Amino acid sequence: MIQLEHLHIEEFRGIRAIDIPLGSSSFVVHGPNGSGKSGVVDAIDFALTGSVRRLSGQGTGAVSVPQHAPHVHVRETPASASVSLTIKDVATGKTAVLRRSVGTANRFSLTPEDPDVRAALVQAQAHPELTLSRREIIQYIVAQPTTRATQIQALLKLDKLTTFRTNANGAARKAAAEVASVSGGLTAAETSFRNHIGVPDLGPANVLAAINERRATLGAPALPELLPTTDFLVSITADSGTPATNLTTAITETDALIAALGAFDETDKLRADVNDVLATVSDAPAVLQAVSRRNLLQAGLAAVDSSFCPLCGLEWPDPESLQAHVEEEIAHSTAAQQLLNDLNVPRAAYQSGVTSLRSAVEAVIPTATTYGDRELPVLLRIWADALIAHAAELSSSDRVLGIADRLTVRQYDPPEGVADKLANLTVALAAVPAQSATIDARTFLTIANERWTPIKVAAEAVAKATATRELADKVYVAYCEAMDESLDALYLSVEQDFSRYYRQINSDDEANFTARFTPSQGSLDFTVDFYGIDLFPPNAYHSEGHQDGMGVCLYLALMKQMLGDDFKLAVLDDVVMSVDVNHRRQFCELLKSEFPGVQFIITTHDQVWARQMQSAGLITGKQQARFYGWSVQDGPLYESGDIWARIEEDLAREDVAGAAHKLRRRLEAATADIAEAIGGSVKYRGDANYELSELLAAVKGRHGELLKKAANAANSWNDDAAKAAVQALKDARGAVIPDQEAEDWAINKLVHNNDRAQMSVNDFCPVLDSAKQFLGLFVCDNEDCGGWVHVEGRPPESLRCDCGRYFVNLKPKPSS
Amino acid sequence: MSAAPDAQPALTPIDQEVSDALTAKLRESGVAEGAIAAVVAGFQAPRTPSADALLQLLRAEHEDPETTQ
Repeated sequence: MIQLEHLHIEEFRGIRAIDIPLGSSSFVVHGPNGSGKSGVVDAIDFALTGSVRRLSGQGTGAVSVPQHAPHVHVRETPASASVSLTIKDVATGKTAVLRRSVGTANRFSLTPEDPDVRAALVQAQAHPELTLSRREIIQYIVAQPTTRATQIQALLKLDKLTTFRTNANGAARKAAAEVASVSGGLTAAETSFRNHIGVPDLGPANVLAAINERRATLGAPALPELLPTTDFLVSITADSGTPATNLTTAITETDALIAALGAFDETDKLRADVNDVLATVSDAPAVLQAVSRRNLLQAGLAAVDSSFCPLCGLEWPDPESLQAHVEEEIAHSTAAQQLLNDLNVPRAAYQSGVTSLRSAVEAVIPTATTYGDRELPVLLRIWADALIAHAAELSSSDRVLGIADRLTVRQYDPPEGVADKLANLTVALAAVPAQSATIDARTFLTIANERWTPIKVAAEAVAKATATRELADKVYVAYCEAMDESLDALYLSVEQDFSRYYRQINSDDEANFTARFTPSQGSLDFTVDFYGIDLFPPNAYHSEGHQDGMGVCLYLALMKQMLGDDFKLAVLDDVVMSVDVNHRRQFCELLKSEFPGVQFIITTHDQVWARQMQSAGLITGKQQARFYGWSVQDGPLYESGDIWARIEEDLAREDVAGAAHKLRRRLEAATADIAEAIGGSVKYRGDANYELSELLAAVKGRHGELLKKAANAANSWNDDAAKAAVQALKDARGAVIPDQEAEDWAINKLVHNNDRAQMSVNDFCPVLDSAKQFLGLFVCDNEDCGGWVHVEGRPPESLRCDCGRYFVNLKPKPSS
Repeated sequence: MSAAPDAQPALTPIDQEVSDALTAKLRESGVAEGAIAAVVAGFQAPRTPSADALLQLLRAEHEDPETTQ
């Protein structure tokens, strides 16, 4: 698995150019709404996958990655929009730079090309849930049980399990249908043989008695046993003058066919069973369509390798949205697949009935040829061929759906005139003189031989189909047991982890919290304890903030379940915005204690939240980027990492313009923070894009006021030490501010935009020093303290830092 | 994050667990080792076999059965 070392973004979404040193550690990007934070998440998403979740899939309309991922100013040249992500293979510590451009989003380069890093990258790419937004996480909590089951199964990658179960069930149903189908063929063959030899059942003794009686007539020895390969004419000399028919059999089979003509009750019933299932399908034309396209869609899904649909050639915004669309269509056909499974058994039984009828018709054709009307064998052949064709239409459930409308009426009625001609044939047969005993015996044995071989073939087919069905049943049953046992254990484990995480966050008021997952029939019920009263759906009584907390806890439990020790990275976009202030510290501690090896990259619009992550030890002061404004022209206003070191690096390269840019950004961010901390006033702007000069004026003005208050307070208490301390601060201010104001022009936006090439490193160093000294007025001398001095109390009582080393009393002695 | 087009589906731990349990249960049911290997290979394949493909796979285990009547 990978972690992220460094992110470089160019002309991507709302960002022109930015470098964020992530350092394979947890990192926070914070800033107000609209400051470009989500662009960072989008960039990571894009680098890893070539796509951006927010720009593809359902509800994104005409928005697409190729057209809308580049910054609006370079939208015509998507190749100039790119993301470079330095990734680290956690197992080996090796790093490589993954670079992807919007112009060729389907390809990426990995430099250096290292098999370990690539393997770790491929593993990360197989887990799109590593990057998640609040909207996606909360869906697990508020979803309907069936939707939740689908989403959680998708997150846990259980789709293979459910698909295999459906297909194993389908295979078992098809195997059962195949047994029914080939059994029909065996029944037809046996019926034909039995009708011929005139015995009630095909026990070996009955068959051998009938056969040996005719063999005795021909002077041939009796057959001692009956085998599938037995030749009834063995040791009997062939006679070319033997007629094609046996008169007794001819009369029996003609009578049987006439009887069948009078009543198709059994076949009608089998057809009605098929129509009962088809009635439910006919009510849903969309399902019918899905059924008809299912195989095509599955073939198409396998062939998706670009943004062009392999089925219709239309271009999609990107391969992922095309793939998602095809997968959705296949999902719609899942219900249809179940209908196909339901249709299999009655379809096969009906097909068997049609096959039996065909067999009865074909049996009479030789008799009709010898003794009947000239047209009769032709009509019987037409009828038999129609039955063969109809049986072929019944060979699969898909084909049956295609002829559903025709199945409302009989498809096996004989051609017109057959009934009359069969009646005439009966009369003709009655007039035929009886065959001699030897001719009867010879024709009997010849036809018996002809009809014995099909029984052997059909029996073999039945044996094969039965063995396959038994195996398919065993596989399906064993698979269901294996899957259910594993899933029960999995959900129990998720349930326990989830409950523990949630209890840790809400230990103050829900220390006995429990939850329960109950999987059943493709849905997943999820209930949670509400203050010991009972178990309820999570969105029944808990607040939105608690639901947000549950969403994250469930996500973490699922990720732990799925990835185990390979859970090393999570990019969470504003996922806990509603968690109330009192529980945020516990949330930070949860991440820190339960997931010490995971790099969390978290965006939040809440600055307090970001500070809490730092104070809870989840991140360091350097592991954060602050976005504090945004413009179309320049992108986000931000600061991150050790800005002073980066400025020094620029100066070492004689990149004065770069250093000036960073210094200006640093001052913009710092003065905004200081103004907030000490109560400096600026003219309000709705877009929060304050000019540096406004912020500097506000900070300097307020600082002067506060020192004046401090001096008055010290005087009122007649506190000499305080007086001296305030005077020292005033002296420092007096020494710093004139220099700062003298060098202010050098970091003016217009100057560094237009004349940057004119300033040397030596010219810029005093500018840098004055800025550092100016900001030094607002911090204490304890490097570990970190924060700006701030005003406490209302009205102001003190100006102090977090550690207390910088403390100035502002509260004057009350007048007596 | 959307699924990467260049990512290959891998056997997850739960897939592996079910695969192992399936093997054990088929053995308990007296299924031949060849059939077990074929079914498990089908389950573990990157693309789950369709019902038809599974049936074909099971059928192949009975290519030349002893004929009985």
